[in-house]
This record gives sequence, structure tokens and C-alpha cells, in this order.
Amino acid sequence: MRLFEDADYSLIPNRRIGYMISGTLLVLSILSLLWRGLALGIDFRGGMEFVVGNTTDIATVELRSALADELADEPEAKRFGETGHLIRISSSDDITAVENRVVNVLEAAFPGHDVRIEKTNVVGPRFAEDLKRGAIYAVFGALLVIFLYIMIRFEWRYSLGAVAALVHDVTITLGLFSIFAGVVPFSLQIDQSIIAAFLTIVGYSLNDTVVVFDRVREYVNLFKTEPFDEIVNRSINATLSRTVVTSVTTLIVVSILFLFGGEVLRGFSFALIIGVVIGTYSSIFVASPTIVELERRLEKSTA
Amino acid sequence: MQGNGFKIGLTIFFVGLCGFYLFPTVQNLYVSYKMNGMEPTERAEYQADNRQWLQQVDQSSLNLGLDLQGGMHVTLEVEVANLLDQLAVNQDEAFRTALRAADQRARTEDISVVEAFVDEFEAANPDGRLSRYFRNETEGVTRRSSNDDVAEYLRKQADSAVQNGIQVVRNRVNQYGVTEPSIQRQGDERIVVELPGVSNRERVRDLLESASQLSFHLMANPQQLNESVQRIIEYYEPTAEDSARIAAANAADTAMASAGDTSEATTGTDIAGSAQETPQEGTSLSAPGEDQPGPQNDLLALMQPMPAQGQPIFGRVFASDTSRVNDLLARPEVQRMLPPGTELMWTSSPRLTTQDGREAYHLLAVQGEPELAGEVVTQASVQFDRQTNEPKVSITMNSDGARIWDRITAANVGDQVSIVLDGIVYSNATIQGRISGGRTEITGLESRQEAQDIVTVLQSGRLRTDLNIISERTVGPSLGEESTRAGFISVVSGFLLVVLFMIMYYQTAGVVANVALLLNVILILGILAGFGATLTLPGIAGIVLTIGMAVDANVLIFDRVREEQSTGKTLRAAVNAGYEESLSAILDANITTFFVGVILYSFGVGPIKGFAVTLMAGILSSLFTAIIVTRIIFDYMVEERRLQVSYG
Repeated sequence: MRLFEDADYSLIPNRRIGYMISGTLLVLSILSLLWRGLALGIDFRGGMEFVVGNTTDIATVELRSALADELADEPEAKRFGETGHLIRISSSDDITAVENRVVNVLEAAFPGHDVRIEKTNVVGPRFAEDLKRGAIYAVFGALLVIFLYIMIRFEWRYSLGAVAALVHDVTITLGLFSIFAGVVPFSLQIDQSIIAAFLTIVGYSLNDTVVVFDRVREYVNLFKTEPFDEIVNRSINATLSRTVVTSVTTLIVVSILFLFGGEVLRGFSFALIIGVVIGTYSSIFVASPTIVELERRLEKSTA
Repeated sequence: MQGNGFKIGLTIFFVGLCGFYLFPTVQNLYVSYKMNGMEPTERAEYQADNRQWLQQVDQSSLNLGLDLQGGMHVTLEVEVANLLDQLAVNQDEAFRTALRAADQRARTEDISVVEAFVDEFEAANPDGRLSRYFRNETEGVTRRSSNDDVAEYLRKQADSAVQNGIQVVRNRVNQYGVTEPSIQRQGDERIVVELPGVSNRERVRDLLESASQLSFHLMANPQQLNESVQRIIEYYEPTAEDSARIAAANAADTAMASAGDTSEATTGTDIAGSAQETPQEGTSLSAPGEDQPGPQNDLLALMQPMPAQGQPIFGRVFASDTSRVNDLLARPEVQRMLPPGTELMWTSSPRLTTQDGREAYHLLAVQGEPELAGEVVTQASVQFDRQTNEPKVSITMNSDGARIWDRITAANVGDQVSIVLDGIVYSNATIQGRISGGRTEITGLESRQEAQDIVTVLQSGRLRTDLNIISERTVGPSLGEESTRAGFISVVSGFLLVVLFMIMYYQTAGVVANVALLLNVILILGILAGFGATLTLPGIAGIVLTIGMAVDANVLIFDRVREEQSTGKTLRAAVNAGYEESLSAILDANITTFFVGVILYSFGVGPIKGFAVTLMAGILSSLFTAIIVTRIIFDYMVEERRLQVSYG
């Protein structure tokens, strides 16, 4: 089977279409991020999270209101797969006391349910600060290291192109998280595993970008007389088959994680699905056009 | 094919190494499968027969994270601000303001409480001297000590408080009887405790969070205790209905009896004033000679009574049975049979080790009310007797402590006194005579190590160590099982789909890539087992993701081979060019992703670290399999066998 064999699409000449798509997505993402913001998970804001079992037949709305009546804070409740419900409480009381209160309230409100706590996740405010700091360091550290590595192995233009694509990818993924939060039936709060997913997206998108850039580097020496934008277009087409195949295999496994990986990995694999699609797109329509545009500016200023 | 000998050797070496590291895991899976099919009695027998081997296999097999096997992951923090408060011999407003500010700052910034305190104090009082608050002659902090010296002293104290906290937690966890707990220090002020398979979260929280402080206790009268022991044993005499359980108890009892044959490692310890000459050797314990009730007795099945004179020992119990004995003795009616005011406490270290490595602890009867708090201790050190060169512990107390100590020792000559930290007896010794002046010696110790352990506990336990839970993650066993199943399904189905796709797309070459992919999964697991890493759910996600991304290197190579073929090259030349031309892209792409893994590993905690580890292991092994292993196979097919390999 061969896909995109001898592909010859006019991708770079039509890069303005890409700019429009990216621009729209970026604007929507930024607006949503400013307007709706991001829901931070308890990893980064502190609080308690319980997964209660044996509650599958209770409606989430009823469960939430039963808890809200008894607990002072506004608790969140969500379906948690086949197990039961996920309850979030931003309390810093004694864990055991809160836990018992949740069980007692639910058993009183819904008689006949033997409510069990299946999972707890408690993060104190100070620990949350540490995790937040760690996440910020990790994201910026990763971007910096990548920028430096590409700069050493390629040129600064390529570096800018790669990082532009990464910023593009992460912003849009964050934006989609903000837009979809509350719409999809699973939790889309930003926690540690989502940060891990973002960094994986960064790695994946970069992988894609580097493959195209590597070909550009090769063709620049091979087709010395050809204009730079044509070289880039030729490189994208030459690597298109590989880009698509790798995206397909990665999308296969990521979708499997989303479908079968269980409730715990739902948000994580959702981020990865978005990231793989956006990352593949961005290496063609963001990273590559960026180096073309930079080359043009450079030519103009030297001419 | 020439020059491939090294590559083949390398591949065999790595695969062999991974096989070596994964072998116990496979054994473990096989054994647990076999044991699941056994009858309960048969299983117990099998476990008893192969205990050591089973333990070894279990320990060296790939660890499953708590999110997969269920359990509790707790991060504790030592209240250093509280410690500084206790250390300060005199306090004023400036001190309290600085301490409050430091506590606040440490909550939001990446700075330890001690550093923040010194910083805040110096900022608010440029000429202020910290030595004013923390004068401690024995630790070398005098009025003239510089702020840097004091800061160093505070850091040392905070450090030993954390060490002490770890010791306390370890004892508490051992008491609780969890298998394979992990207790580790994290950073300056934190302790991470991992307890697999814990179901009673509330009890563990209480166990971990309660404050601890060293104290000196008198002990029960041995004679009186003996009578209590007999009464309690009688209480557990089986009734007719219990006969059903006899069979199970029998097995355990045989083990206990055989252990009794091994050498005893117990010596009595004595306590004496400094003026005292050579101490007398402690009496060695003899095996119980009294009429024992039958082996069907619940308590005797687990515990061996030790009715020796002069020692308030309730009994001796193997480490594996301590939590069951705790449960038996926790009944209120049993507690009432103890001599009034006494509590039963375990010794901190085993008092007997059998030849096959089982350790037994003593259960001692201690007066519940402390006579003296540990804070009176000003100094403790290991010394050696000038004549016998035996190790001894020298303790100095402050004047308040010395006065009370004088009274206690005078009134209880010949009785035993114990050093208790957190409900655990670290040392018990016989009072040889009245001790005045606050200088005490503990003699008759087994080894220098024992003396050092007592000194450590005296030094670090004298201040109250408060531990707070700042983070907790628990996963119930059923949810863990569900996650394991979900992870397994994801790995298998992800693998199969990618394999199918590769065969469809690249035909013969796809099969070769799939061999590399299978090897890849084995290598990742081998790397994890070899480095003793833990497999978590995010870790499994990392493996699944790697399966999808690992084919990338081969995809790059194969596409390049196709391209080269289309320019008219022979298969052999195309394969060579394909591997050579795509190498730079493969390396650049993977090195950058590897960096991301490194960064994730350094900043993530808990399960995220597991994800980072599998991601990095996946990159290394996929580079190896895609570049070296597939090349060997293609070289063999194309050059040796002159086959026409289809790249689809």
C-alpha cells in the first residue's frame, strides 16, 4: 500500500489557508482561555478528590445537590466510568472527617447504597504550590532545551520555526481544553498528567518538525538553484507519506488509550489525540512556513 | 554481512540482559497463577515451604505502582517551624514575627523553613544575633556564634528531626504490618510513605500524623506480669467450637517451635550511675519450661511467653505475626487483665534472629505514664568502658531532669526502666542504683551499633516531631485491578493494530519492523525491571504511546528505501542508502524527545515520573531496535539469502 507516493501538493504557496485556520484556532483558544479560563485540577490548587463506588445508579445532579446541602463548600461531582462518581471538594479539613462526611451524606440521601471510597487524592495548598512550580519549570525548561538543541543542530531560523509550532500546539490544545471543559462527559482539569501529556505533545510535534527540517537541510544542498520556498514545499511532500503513517500509528494507540485506558487516563489521552492532530498539522502549516517567511525577511533586508 | 557480528552480539547481550531481569517477573506471574488454583490449606503449606524463595522472586520482579495494585501514597512534612519554636530557649517579638513570616514564605516559595527564617530575621533585624535565641553549649552554639553557625546548627537539627520522623514512621508502619512498605525522604522536610494494599485509610492517617516524643518509663513488675500473661493465655484457651481452626494453628506452631531451637541473642542491659563499676551481665533467657496449653491456643500459636525473672517481657513474636498479636491483645477484656497502668510495647529492634532469617521482637510491659520527658536530655554519646572496652551510652540531663531522675532511680533500684519513643521501646535496662547529678550510663550493650542507635534516638527524639500529611493518594484494590486490566487491554490492542497496519502498509518490511516492535516492548520492560523502576498506569500509557511512536524510525527508513528504489537503485543499494540517509532525522527527532523525558522526570512527582521513565526507555530501545536490529535482519535477507524484500 502506498499513500502520498510522489506527492506534489502546493502546500507552501497556499500557506495562507494554514494561517487562516491557525489564526482562527488561536484567536478562539485565547478568547476562551481569557473568558472561560482553565480549570486547574487539585494537583495545582489543592483540595480533595474522592472516587466513590456503588453509586452508578444515582444521577450526578442529585448526588451533587445532596453533597452541596451538607458540605459547606461547593462540591463538584462527575461520572467516573463504571465505578461511580468523582467528587471534588476544595476543603482543607481533616481528610478522614471529610471522607466520612461524604460517605454518611450519600448513604443517608440514597438509602440502600453501600458507598465505598475507591480512590482519594488529597493535595495540601503548599504541596500544590510546589507541583505548580514544578510544572511551570518543566514546560519552560522543555521549550528552552528544545530551542537550544535545534539551534545547535540546525540554524536559529529553524529553531524559531520549531518553537513557534510548539507554542501554537500547546496554546490550541489548552484552548480546546478550555472550550470543551464541561461539554465532554469527562474531567478536563489541568493536572500533572495533563502537563505530562503537553510535554509529550511538544516532543511529538517536534519529532514531526525535525523530520521535515532535516529534509530541508538536505535539499538546500542538493537543489542549490531552487528558491527556498520551493525547497521547503518539496521537502514537505517528500516526507508526507512518513508524516501520515506515523500520525496514523500514533493516533491508533492514543485512541485506544482514550477508549480502553480507563477513566484515570481519559483527560490525558484526550490531550494526546488533540496534540497528535495539531502537532502533525503544525509541522506542515506552521513550522515550515515560519522558516520560509524568515528567509524572505532575510533576503529583503540583505537585498 | 561483514561487520554485523558486533551488532548481533550486542543484540543478544541486551535481550539476554532483559531476559535475566524479567525472569523473576515471569516466575512471579507463574507462581501466583499456580497458587490461585490451589486450595487454601495447600496454598498456605506451599507458601510456608517456599517462603524465602517466594520472597526473593517477589522482590526482584517488576514493581507495580500503587495505582495498579492498590494502596496508599502519603507525603508527610515535618513541621520545622514548630521545631524552631521548641529549640528557641528564649523568644521575643522579633523571633516570633520572623518565624511566622518564614512559615508563610515556605508555603509559597521554593525555600526551606530554616533558610526563610534566617533570611526574614536578618532582613528585619540587620544587627540581630540568632545565637540569642538558640544558645546551646553542648551543641557549640554560644553567645558569640555567628548567624551562619546558628543557621548551620538549625539545619542540622531540622535534618535530624526528619531522620527521626522517618524512624518513627518506619516503626509505626512495621507495627501496622504492611508488606513491602517504602519510606523515603524527599527534599529537606518531606517523607514519602508508600503502603501497598492498605484498606484502613483512617488508621494509617492517624498512625502517621500523631506527634511523637521521647520519654522514660518504668516497667511492669515481672512477677505481676507473669500472672497476667497466664490469665491472658487462659483467656485464649480454645473452646469446643474453635476446634475447626486447630488445623490452621498447628502449621504456624510448628514453625514457632523450630525457631526456638536457634541461639538466643538476648542479653539484659543495665543502667547505672557514672560511679558504678563493672556492670553484671544480664540474665540470659531460657525457653519456657512451664506447662503450656495446647498448640490450638490462638495467642500461643503466634507468641512465645518469656517468663524469665527480672525482665518485664510479655512474650516473643515473629515480625510477620506482630500485627495479628496486636489485634488479639487489643480486646478490652484482655487489656483489663494486664497489671494496672501498664501498656504493651514492642522493642525497636529484633531480639532474636533465626538461622533462616526470621526476626522476632519482644513485647514488653511498660508503665503507660512517663516518668520523665525526653527533652531533659541535653547530651547523649557512645563511650567505651575503660577496662572491658565494651560500648556504653552516656546520657546527661538538665538540672530539672536530674532532680526527678534522682528520685525515680532511688525509689526503684533493681527495677527496669525503658526509653520509649512513640510507643516503641528503644532500650530497657535495670536500675543499678540511685543516680544523682544527671549523668547516666547504659551498659551491657550488645554492640557499638546498638549503643549508637540508642544515642541517635536520644538526640533526635528529645524534641517533639510533628508530621503533617500534605498529600495523599489512595487507590482501592478493585480500581487498581480495573486499571491494570485497562492498561493490559490497551497495550495488547494497540500493539496488534499497529502490527496489522505495518504489515498492510509495508508488507515484508512491515513484518521486520514488527519483530523490532515486539523486541522493543520486551526491552522497555527489561529496562524498567533492571533499574528497579515501578510500573504505573501512566507508565503503561507511556508504553502504549511508545508502541505507536517507535515505528516512526522504521517508517522513516522504509520510506527512504522506497524513494531510493524509485530512483532506480538496486534493493541492496536502496537499503544501504535508506538507513544512512534517514539516520540524522531519526537521531535529531529522538534526542529532542528524550530531553523532554528527562525534564519531565526531574520535575514530575509520583506516577508522572513513571511515565517519563517509560518514555525515555522507549526512545532508547526503539532507536536500538529500529536502527540495529532491523538492519541485521535486512542484511541477512538481502545479502545472505538474496531475497527480494518488499517494502510495499
